[in-house]
Amino acid sequence: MTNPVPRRAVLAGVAGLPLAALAGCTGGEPRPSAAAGGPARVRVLTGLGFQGREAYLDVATEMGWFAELGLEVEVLPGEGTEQNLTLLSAGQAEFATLDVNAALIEHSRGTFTDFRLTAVLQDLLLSCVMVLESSGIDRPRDLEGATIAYIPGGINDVVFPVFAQLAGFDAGSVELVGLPPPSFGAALAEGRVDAIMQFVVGRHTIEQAAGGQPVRVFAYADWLSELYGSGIGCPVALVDRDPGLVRRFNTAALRGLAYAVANPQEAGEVFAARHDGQDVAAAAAEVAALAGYVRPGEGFDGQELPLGEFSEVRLVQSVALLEGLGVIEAGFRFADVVGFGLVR
Amino acid sequence: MRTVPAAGWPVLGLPALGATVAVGGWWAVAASGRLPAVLVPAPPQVLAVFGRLPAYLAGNLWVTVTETAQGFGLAAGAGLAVGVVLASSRGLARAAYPVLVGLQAVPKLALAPLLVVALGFGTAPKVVMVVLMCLFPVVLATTSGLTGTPAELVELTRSLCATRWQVLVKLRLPHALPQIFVGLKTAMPLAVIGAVVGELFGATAGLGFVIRTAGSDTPLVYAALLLLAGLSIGLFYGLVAAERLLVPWTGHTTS
Repeated sequence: MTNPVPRRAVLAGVAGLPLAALAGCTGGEPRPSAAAGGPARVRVLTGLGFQGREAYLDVATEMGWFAELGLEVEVLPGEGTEQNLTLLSAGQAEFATLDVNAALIEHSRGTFTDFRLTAVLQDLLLSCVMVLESSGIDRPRDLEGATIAYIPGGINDVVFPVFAQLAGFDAGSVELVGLPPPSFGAALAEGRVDAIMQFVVGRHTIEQAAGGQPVRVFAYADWLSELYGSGIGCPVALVDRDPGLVRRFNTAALRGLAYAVANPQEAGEVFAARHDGQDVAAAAAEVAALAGYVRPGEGFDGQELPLGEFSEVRLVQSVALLEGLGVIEAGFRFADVVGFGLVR
Repeated sequence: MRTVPAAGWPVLGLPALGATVAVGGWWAVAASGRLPAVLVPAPPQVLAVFGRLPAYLAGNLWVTVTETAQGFGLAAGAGLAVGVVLASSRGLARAAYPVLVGLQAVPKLALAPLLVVALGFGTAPKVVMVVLMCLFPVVLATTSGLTGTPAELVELTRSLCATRWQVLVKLRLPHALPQIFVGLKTAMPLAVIGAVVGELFGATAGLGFVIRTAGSDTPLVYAALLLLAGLSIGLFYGLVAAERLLVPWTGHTTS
């Protein structure tokens, strides 16, 4: 037979329990400092974790370019566009790396409307399909009937039908297999899949994961030059409240980006020095692979824009393409989500 | 009369034998070449990582240990408190159990990004994740232990004019301790898993972060996994030692 424990004893016992252990949690996060004379403290989210392709943030920090403009920057690991937008909304960061197309789609859907895209990082889409050179798949048309590993809902997946159409094969003929990204290289090497959807900068990592086997890259950008890659976004409230801070951040970040792409080995070394356990060669290879993708855009009159500035011509083309894919509602106004004149 | 075997072999030798067999099996699989090295690196490759990145691994191990200890301590305290409360009222227990079971059934991986959004990038979301993983077994074990006290003993203490507080502290809790330790020992490996799950999202340190950012460096992933296994084993046997200290009669009164 069992008996319940007396209530009075319960109350007395509960009072002494070590809930004070909560004090061990460090929930306090940095906030932009408005203190006169001190640097403004801002947090920036990477696109996904810490990867060599985002070494420019470390370069700008290491070179003192953020500090020169009165900024103290903390680089935090992002989790993709959707989660980064959630974190921006929740006030957990002031800036975030976002896939421009995914951000346009989210804004169009009304999921997130409280942010602005303020700078372009990659003028072209980094998406690609990778195959082993030994696979016999020498051109995109050979992908018909292939099994391709992908991340469902990711930008590579969303744009894949257009890529397939432009590259001359039937997107419906391939079998798409959802896999966690870290297993892509091994799945390719083991022949579990014929191809993987990737970003061009991941080539070195995939080749390493595939046991050193060389891979062939079919870059979407070779057929699809309308779409941007990643950009920097921040809350609308920050743009409205302190556009100068946004400009200072973008100025230093883009300076870091230009320097990193021009000096990939050095950027890789800076990245590896600031992130223990990271491989210099892999980071340098990722930065080097950005070379053709980081470039100034062109305005309506064909005039070169400052690095990082959005081009209205490209945005018109991008929105039209995304509308054609059915992922953006007709009548979407990119001016509602893109902030111009915020890169310097 | 039955003779008691020497303590050395069963206590140290058998676990060592088990570990040797496990590592030997792993090595055999790696050496067979049936699986690529990027999936199953050989033990020497993994050991080399400890020589290559000792400070990095030690620093991140310490972060995970800290988060695990904080979360486990919190879960143990809260679990005991909730268990005592639920044991005091069958009605309350009936009302609370569906919620606790539901909470336990939620895939915690799905909660990790939400915790980062709510609590930021510090240790708080990881500690909360550990608590979420550990709370249920501790509550269940505590409630079960406290309500399992023989009614005759409760009547006896009351006949000796013991207060309710005295009944709880001097009779029910000691009687429940073996069961509470079962709950704590069940929760301990879950605590390590909780810390790592938390570190897979929005972390800048910890063994989960090491695994997440290792890229194609599979030996580094295995090194982190080995440390996690060692951590779980160490903490588990720490609890076993604590149990022997606090509940020394268990070994003598059970089969």
